[in-house]
Amino acid sequence: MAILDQIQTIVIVMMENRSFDHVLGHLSMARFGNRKDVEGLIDPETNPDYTNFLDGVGYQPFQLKDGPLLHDLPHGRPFVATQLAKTGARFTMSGFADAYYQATGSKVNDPPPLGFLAPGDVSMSNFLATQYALCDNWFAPLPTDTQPNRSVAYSGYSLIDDTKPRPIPTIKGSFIFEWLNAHNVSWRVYHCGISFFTLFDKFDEVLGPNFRSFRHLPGDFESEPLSEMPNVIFIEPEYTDSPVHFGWTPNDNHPPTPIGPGEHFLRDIYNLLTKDPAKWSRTLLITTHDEHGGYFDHVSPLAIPAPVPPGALFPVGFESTGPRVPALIASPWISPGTVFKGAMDHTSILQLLSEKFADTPDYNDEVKRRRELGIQSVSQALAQPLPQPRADIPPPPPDIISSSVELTTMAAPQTDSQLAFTAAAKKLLMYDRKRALENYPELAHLPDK
Amino acid sequence: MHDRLLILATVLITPFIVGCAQIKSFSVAPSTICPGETIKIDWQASGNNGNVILDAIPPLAGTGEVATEGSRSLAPTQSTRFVIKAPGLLKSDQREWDVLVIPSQSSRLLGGVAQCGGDRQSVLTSFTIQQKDTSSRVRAVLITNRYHRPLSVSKEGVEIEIPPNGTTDGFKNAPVSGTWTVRTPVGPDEACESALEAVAGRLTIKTQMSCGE
Repeated sequence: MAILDQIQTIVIVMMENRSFDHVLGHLSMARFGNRKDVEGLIDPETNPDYTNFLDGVGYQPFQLKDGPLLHDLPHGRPFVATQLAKTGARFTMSGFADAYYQATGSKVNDPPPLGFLAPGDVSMSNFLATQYALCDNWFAPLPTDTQPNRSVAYSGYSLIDDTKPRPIPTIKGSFIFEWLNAHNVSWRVYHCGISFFTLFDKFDEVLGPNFRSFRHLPGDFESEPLSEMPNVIFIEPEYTDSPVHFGWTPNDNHPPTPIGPGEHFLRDIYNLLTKDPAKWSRTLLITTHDEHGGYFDHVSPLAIPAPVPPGALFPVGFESTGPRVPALIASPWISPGTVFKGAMDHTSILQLLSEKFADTPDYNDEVKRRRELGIQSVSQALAQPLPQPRADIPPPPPDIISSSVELTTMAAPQTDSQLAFTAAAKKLLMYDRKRALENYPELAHLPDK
Repeated sequence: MHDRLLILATVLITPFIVGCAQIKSFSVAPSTICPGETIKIDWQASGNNGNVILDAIPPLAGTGEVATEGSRSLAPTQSTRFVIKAPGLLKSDQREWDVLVIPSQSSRLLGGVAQCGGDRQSVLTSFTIQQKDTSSRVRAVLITNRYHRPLSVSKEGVEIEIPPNGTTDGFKNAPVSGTWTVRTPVGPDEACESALEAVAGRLTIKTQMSCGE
């Protein structure tokens, strides 16, 4: 595809745990833009198609003010099954209130999973959707939680079906860094806090020259000529579940963390990428979320099964994708207000990379299998590019984020995800303490025990 | 020597015992009541230093610091959120429970996931409102059909047809608690799957609630 030749750098940002309707469902609501071209929420407070049930009582989606939640929302595999509420062949998407009660023991009139955000609380996502492209059929690849979905995002496969404090196993040759290295594609990771890739036991990579603090991104962008910029850049937020938060406010959107800091983070990234119009004209920004995080979405998952891969640590495959997640694509080659409606998931990014750097969308057998079942490449969202890059660089919304996050160090990890980050951080220190502290100075504050 | 070891062990272990607080159970019943009625709050917490707090929003007499395990009967006069908190050094725990006092907010959706089939070829759902959730004094004085298709609502041997977007007061003397069945017929030229699709795989009724004797 000719447009791919114009793109020098692909920037990938994967946030945490929000559904499409929760973040961008407002776009189609009468009081927030009334966009008929977006598969969002319509009259959510009264629409009987969205009603969720708990003990015979119905609950409707409601407008939620951004802020810290009292509880994380359930999003492990059994809870997602409850949320999807499958009866016969139909996913009714009616069990989000039920799963919340099961997980938290809290029974409230306004269950947070049914909350959707207004444009003012997601001003940067709303801006990107309005000024660039929105994918309203992008799904988490698996109906479960973070680690399996990120595993698919970075390799096409998942050998696990849950999030646990253990190294995330991968299939040899499939992992993104192995693939990029094998295809002589230059890449770099900019991380706010500890990198998620630490959880894959990729310690040599994580401590290597391709991993740099997000603080270095502005300087690198300014000093490196276009020809020396990496072909692929991953930008990682400061994860809520990280054991230490000294340099950054958690800004990964993972509840109970509010979304405001994540919106601010996206704004920073956009401002950096668009600072040099010449470089921006050769850049493609993809931002999505790893999974829905327990938030309601009204669209049924895609009936794309995921069989158990050889060597997997779970016995039963998946029969569908997970719920939809927000996905936005920005580039000066994209017309404002573009909506791409093709079926996508995280392997759409792997297809794109493979198309650009290996002349085939089939990154590996699993990505090929999912493509043959209907998953499209990100490149399809660019199938009708502008004849030349836009001259305008729309300014992002002003800094109006009201929600805040208290900067605290975790007293003791509680959830499996927090335990996983803590275990990975400690292993990284044991692997090479000197280099680990050079790259992640905050880890000096990690308790030994 | 033994005593010293015991003291040392106690000193070392105590922060962890009181450090991670956990609420093992918390329930409020019934969740929907009439003015003057009493609710019963039960809770069980562990792992803290006997420091459990039962809050009410808006405030209500009888709440405050409570034992780690207990039960309390209260009579809220308005809709109230009850919050139980078990603070811990390393981990705190909290749960919330809303109580609706009729008639401050008297409209509620009832329903469930639907299936298609049966002798009468219809889409139907059946669900039970437990007495532990809703006082037996709460009545369904008006039921609204929110669909553009007819509904049939039945409870305890009474079945009433509600036209599209219509209402019925046929259950005004019946308690909300109990087992309800809601169905909508599959049209003569309609497939089961299409009928299910038309109602997004679920059926609900909008219930206006009031308090009877």
